[in-house]
Amino acid sequence: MSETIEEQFRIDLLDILSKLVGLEPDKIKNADRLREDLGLDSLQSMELLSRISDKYELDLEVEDVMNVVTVDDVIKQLAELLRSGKPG
Amino acid sequence: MKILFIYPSFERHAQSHPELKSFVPCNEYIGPPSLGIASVAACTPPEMEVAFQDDRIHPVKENNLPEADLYALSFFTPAATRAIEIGQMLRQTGRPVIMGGIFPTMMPDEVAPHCDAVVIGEGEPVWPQICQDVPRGNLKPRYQADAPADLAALPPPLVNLYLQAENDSFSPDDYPLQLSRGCPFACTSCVVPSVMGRKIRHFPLETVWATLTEFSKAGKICSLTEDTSFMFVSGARRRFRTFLKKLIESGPEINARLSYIGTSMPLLINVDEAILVEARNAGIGRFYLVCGFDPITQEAFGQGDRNATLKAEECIKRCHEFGIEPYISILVGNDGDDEGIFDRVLEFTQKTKIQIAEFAVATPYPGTPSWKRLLYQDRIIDRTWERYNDANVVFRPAQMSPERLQEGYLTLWREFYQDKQHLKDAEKNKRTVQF
Repeated sequence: MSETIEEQFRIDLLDILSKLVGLEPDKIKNADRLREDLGLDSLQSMELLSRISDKYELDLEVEDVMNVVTVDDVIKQLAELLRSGKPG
Repeated sequence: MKILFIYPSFERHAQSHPELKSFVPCNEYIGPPSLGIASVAACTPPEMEVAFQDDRIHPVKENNLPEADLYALSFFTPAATRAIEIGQMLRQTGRPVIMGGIFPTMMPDEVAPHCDAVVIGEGEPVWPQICQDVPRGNLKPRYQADAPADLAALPPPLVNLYLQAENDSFSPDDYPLQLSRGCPFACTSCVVPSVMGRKIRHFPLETVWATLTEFSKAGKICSLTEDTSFMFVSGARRRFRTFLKKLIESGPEINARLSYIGTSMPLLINVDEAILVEARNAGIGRFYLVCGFDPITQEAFGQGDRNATLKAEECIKRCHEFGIEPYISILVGNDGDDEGIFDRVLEFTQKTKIQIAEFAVATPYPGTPSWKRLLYQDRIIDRTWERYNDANVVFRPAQMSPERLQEGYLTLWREFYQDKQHLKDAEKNKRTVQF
């Protein structure tokens, strides 16, 4: 179950990321850092979170995502929030 | 018991600088009162009578003081000078005077000598208690709620108070609509987190819709000034999209209309284009683009940074592509702004073919991080609150003299509108500017 959630997150996240940074989804790795490797500035990171939380109807707070650094962090953190009943 | 809510007047740009009227070929926008009074008034116990006086239209006069059992003034910083004056007049009646709103929340000690009670923070949670305490002669000097207001428990604002106060000389086309309160960010010039807290709280869609419907019935357009609507935080974007969808689907019987959304370039440049399409389809024809608060416009205009300038141009292009007119409001005088800012702003507006704009002087409003910093640096040079209206220099700028900043602000108004005298003949909403 959790793998399914995370896999779907990954597909959707890569789709959004690729549009934001102009890279093909298959060029983006789980370990890529949003800022240093993918070049997202803080507002693009916010847009990424906005789009994914909008799609999954998550009510995120800033503190929920403060420690997110890599693509994998985003996937794990959001999947965890979804499992813990965080959706709005 | 009769309660009279008073919205004290404040100087607009053209009142601070009458010469603007000769430069700017537009109507002055005399906006509606903020929603604060209507929202607090709605929490009044039903057995009490409420009335409203907009001091901008019907000034409170010492020789003809309005009658009431309780006076409640709500105001922001530009209106503080007049509010204090009104408070002093009204206390001659022997009836209690209460002050609340942004300025009293941030500067309670400043207003306390001129009223009987100060409300610190949101008024709605404490208003029923005040209404109980006044008839019992038990009014306390300060009221402050233990927690932020539960917006789901609030009734819709009593907007009829405002609509009934309109007359031939004052009938705003648009009124604000509030979707949420609070913001988790700490932008240097914004007072929202200090006044409303750092967590975004949303009004239920039913409350927003009831307010919108009330205004629509009166033929009014609503405006949205919260750019937090575009953010992920607390599900703000999802709720905003639900609201847009309801607007799009609403039938002609509601005739709900929105005039503009207030936002900023960094949010617009990244936002999913689906939202821009939805905003346009919901009838939003204008973005009120606040510039000078965010990194893109601070770097583009303040320092002439090439990448930032390209992003700013891209943002205006994006507005045009989606058929939503950019109305820009440019603030000058930030610490990063050198004297070249005035030429850069004019060059930008010309290149991007901006048709309508307003200009503002950076103003450190009490309660903002900017106020605290400038106070600490001993750079506040004027504490005349009526001059805190974005039209006057009240601090020492970092890279130019106060006089140069003031002159540059007037130059922007004059030169931007020099080749736009044709606006005199444009339809009303195309030639109305806040100045």
